[in-house]
Parts: sequence; C-alpha cells; structure tokens
Amino acid sequence: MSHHVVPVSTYVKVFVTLIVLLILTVAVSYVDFGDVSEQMADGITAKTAVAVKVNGLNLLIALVIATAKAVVIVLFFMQLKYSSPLHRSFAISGVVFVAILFTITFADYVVRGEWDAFPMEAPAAVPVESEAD
Amino acid sequence: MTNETHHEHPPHLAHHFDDPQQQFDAASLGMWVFLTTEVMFFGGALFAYAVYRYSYPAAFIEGSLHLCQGAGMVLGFVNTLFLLCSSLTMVLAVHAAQTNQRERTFKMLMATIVLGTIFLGVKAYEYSVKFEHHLVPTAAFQLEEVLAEPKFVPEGTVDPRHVRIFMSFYFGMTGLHALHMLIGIPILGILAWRTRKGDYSSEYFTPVEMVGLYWHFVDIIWVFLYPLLYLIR
Repeated sequence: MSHHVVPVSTYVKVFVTLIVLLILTVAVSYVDFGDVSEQMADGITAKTAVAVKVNGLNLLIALVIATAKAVVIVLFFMQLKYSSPLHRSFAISGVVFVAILFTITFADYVVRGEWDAFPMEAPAAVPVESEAD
Repeated sequence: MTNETHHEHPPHLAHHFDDPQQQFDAASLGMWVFLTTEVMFFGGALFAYAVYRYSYPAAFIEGSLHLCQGAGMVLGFVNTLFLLCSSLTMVLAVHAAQTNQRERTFKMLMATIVLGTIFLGVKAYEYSVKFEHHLVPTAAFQLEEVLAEPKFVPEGTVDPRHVRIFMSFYFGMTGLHALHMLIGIPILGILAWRTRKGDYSSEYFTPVEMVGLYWHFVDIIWVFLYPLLYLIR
C-alpha cells in the first residue's frame, strides 16, 4: 500500500489531544456563558430566556469542541490527512448533506408557531394525539 | 500492467482491479460512502433532537440532569474515555498490521474488543438505572425530584411529557449507537481470528483498516452524543 506509515507517536499525541478536549468539554459545561437570571420573572420570558441560554453560547462551545475532536479523529485516526482529494471529498459529502438537512428543515421549524401537540403552557393532562401538521 | 499472466498478481488481488493500490482505494471509498450514509442516519436523529431541544430547552436540561444524577456523571465520562481508548487501540491495530506485526495486531484488536464490551456493559448498567428511576419513556414514566439542583429551572416550568421526549431521544440515540457497537464487536472478533490465522500482512490488511474506519466513526458519533445528552446545563 502506498499510503505512508504514520508513527505511533503521532497517534499517541492525537489520543492525548482527544483526552484533553474531553476534559475541556466537561469543564466548559459547568461554566455559565449567559446570564439571563433577571428575565426569569414571568413565564413567557422564562421560556425565551432558557431557550437563549441553552441554544446559545454553551451549545456552540460544546459543538465546537466536539467538532474539533471529530476533525482530529477523521484526519489522523481515519487517515484522511494522508488520503487523496477524492477520499476527502467523499468524507466531506456526508457533512454537506447533513448541513443541507439541518439548514432547510430548521428554516421551516423556526418560523412556525406552535407545531407540537404538547405546547409548553399546556397542563399535564391526558396525552393528546399529535396531529401531523 | 496489461501483460501479466494469471500467476503474476498477488493472491489477494481480485481480477477486476489493475493493482493492489486500486483495490485498496476502491474498498476505502466504498467504506467512506457507507459512513456517509451513516452520517445521514444519525444526522436525521440529531436533527429531530435539535428541533425538540430548541422547543423545550428547560425540559432537556432537566432530562440531562437526570442522566447525570448519582453515578451518572462519572459513568458518562468514563464511558467516553473507554471509547476514545478503544479508538487508539484500533488505530494501533491497523498500524501493527501495516508494519507486519501479527501478534501486536491481535493484541490491539482484542484490546479494542474488551474496551468496546466494557462500554456496552456500562451502558447496560445505565439503562437499568433508568428503569429503576422510572425514566424509560413508556406509560410507566414518572418524573421524580431532580437530585442535582438545577440552577435556573424553576418549579413548574418543565412539562414532564417534554422530559419524556428527551428520554426517548436518549434511549433512541444511545441505543442506535450501542447497536452499531454490538455489530462492530463481533466483526472485530472475526478480524482477530483471521489475524491469528495469518490472513493479514503489510501486503494486505484492508479489512483491518476498513473496520477501523467504521470503529472510529462510531466513536465520533459518541463524541457528539455525550455533550448533547449528558452535558446540557
């Protein structure tokens, strides 16, 4: 096989990087990146406040670190760094398709109103049949 | 390349390929296409998770805290650690096959199997804990007092049905992931057995490398699942 042999030391370094990133992931999850406590007074704003917090900086940072781990695994453990551009385009195509899925479908969901049968303010009564919208 | 007789090509080279490198590339591209379909497979599930998390953020925080109550935090972290270690042993197995070290290849493959099995064992234990705490999203679902104090989820803003949806995602996605590992471990077993037999060498170790790609992919999925399920705060 013509693909070159990667030294074991490289793999070990990558592994150490992954462990460091894992510890970082956990540490960062404890840090509060958004202060929305003053908006907790009334119900509707509470939902928005929590949404902003959860879907805001904490999530972004967690995803960035996870992506960094994934990139490192793909480049070194899956040897994409040493592969031909053809291999790389095959690998990236998966990401491209998922990006299309997320973008277009999310664009639909964020502009809808209440699309679910279990809206936030509903009482915890009998489970309703969810109607396919 | 076109004047070879039947006896001149290496035994592992199939006749429809010109040379071993092309055969290896074909296998590799095929595996990457499969992994792309797997990315879409999990991508769909992750998208559904994203929509529900966007809609019911507090319930997802609550659910995540339930996952981490008691030993859950440590178990999730340790499981991720085991899986990353198994990725290392897997790549070392491929490296050993590449450098013609049969015994070492076997040992690394066995190490990967052991670590993968430990992961599944911990997962099974976590699932049993969920059963005990009535968190499985069946009719018996019951949301109990969260033991870890949530900092900003006040009383009554979380609908238990939404937390039940979170638990559905937890079981669905980690279950799917566990299924992938459950399939991968016997395949690794077959690889280990064939390594013992001497079927692989630095000339031909394609199956080892391809299963390695699969295993690393399964690890990447978990790398994303772990913060998305366990570390929502």
